[in-house]
Amino acid sequence: MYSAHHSSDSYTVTAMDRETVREHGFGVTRRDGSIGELTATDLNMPFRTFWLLLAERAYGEAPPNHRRAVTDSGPYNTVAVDWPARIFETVNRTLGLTPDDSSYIVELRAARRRVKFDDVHSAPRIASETLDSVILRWTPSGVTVERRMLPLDRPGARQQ
Amino acid sequence: MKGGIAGAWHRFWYERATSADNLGLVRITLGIGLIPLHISNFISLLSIDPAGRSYHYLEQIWYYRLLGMDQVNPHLTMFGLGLLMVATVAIILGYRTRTAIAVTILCIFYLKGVRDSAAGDVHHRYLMWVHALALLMVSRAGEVLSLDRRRLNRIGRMRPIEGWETSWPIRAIQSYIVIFYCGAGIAKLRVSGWDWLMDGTALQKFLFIKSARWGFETLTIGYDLAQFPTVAWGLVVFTIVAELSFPVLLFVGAVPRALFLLVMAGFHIANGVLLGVNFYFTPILYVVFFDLSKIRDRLSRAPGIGASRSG
Repeated sequence: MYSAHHSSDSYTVTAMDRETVREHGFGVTRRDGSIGELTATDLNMPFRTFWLLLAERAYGEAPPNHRRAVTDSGPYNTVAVDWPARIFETVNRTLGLTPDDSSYIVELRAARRRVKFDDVHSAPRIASETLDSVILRWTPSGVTVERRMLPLDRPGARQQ
Repeated sequence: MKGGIAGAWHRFWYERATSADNLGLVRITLGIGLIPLHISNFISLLSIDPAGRSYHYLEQIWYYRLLGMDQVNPHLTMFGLGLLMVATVAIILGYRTRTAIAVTILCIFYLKGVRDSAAGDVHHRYLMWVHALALLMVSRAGEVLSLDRRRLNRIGRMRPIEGWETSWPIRAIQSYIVIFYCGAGIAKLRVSGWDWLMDGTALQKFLFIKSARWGFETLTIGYDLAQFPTVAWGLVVFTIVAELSFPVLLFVGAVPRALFLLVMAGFHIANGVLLGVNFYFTPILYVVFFDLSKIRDRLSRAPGIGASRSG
């Protein structure tokens, strides 16, 4: 996990609100049009794992130690996985739902904050903060991903 | 006859005998260290409701995929947690030690699979521990300071432990630990080249990630540390040098070894506090680099400890 590194003068990292993740989790829409929320408790899944689904996999981000592709295309390349599709499969199967059920989950919504640090080599500072929301939509032919990036007015409370 | 490389090889593995007690004390200490390690690694699994749903894994760990295990079994998970603790206590007591170690390793594999398969993350916190346990399992560590020894004595099947039998397991565990650290240093340079070493960003990046993870209200001392690129670079250089220097440990005296390992213990604790890297209990493994029976004997002679007891 710690061996792969590209030096850069700026890094963007994820910030989450623990209580929001714990209490609200994913926003969901079911096949019958009803909307609701999906939390770690609903899935009987440890919170430490659940937040990774919401903050990383929903955005298509693989785990740091994900298995490598069996090619010589480089150490950073990992096996391609359609993470959003996997999330639909995981949550619906866990809830015992099949695509024919009216309560089958067909849309998942998540949001996270992305914080950009600039001038890392000299005087690191928070340069910008963005609300990064994602909507995953399930269709019988596949999963579509819609991303929205909304700049926030007041990045990082501790900005100099 | 025992000159040259072959002789040195033989001496390295078989002729640095410690007392048999040391082997038993290593088993006991590692067993005690495993308890907090299990808790810190698997405590999140206690939030699974045994009567609740069985979540389907997002990305199975390789052996789960091989075995076709695609969803958690809450009852089995709770049973595995209990069994893991019981087996670990059996290791400490030396009760059916080989079986206890085998069961412990099996439980670690199972529970690690439950945890890591849920989101696809694979953690390596148990690697050194499982190898150390496997080596103790095939050694005679369970026949010293143990209930197994009593049983073998009672049925007349206890045979003396030879010097080489106490030497090789300890040497093998030491060698594995050394290779693990050295391999981590090599991997950083192999995968990232000079990028890992040329500045402090390899550390700063993780300090930012950890600091901001739960919002700016909870920014930690790590965020403040990341403001000093030169300090971060110094720590990055230290990390690589320390990891690559680990093999030297096998050939130096007790004092420099102790100092080095003390610094490495600080390194792991700092990583835990600043970066959230849960290798807090790894330093307990360092006991294999010392003769614990000598330390025990010294402590027992120390005023106020052993002296008062014997007096």
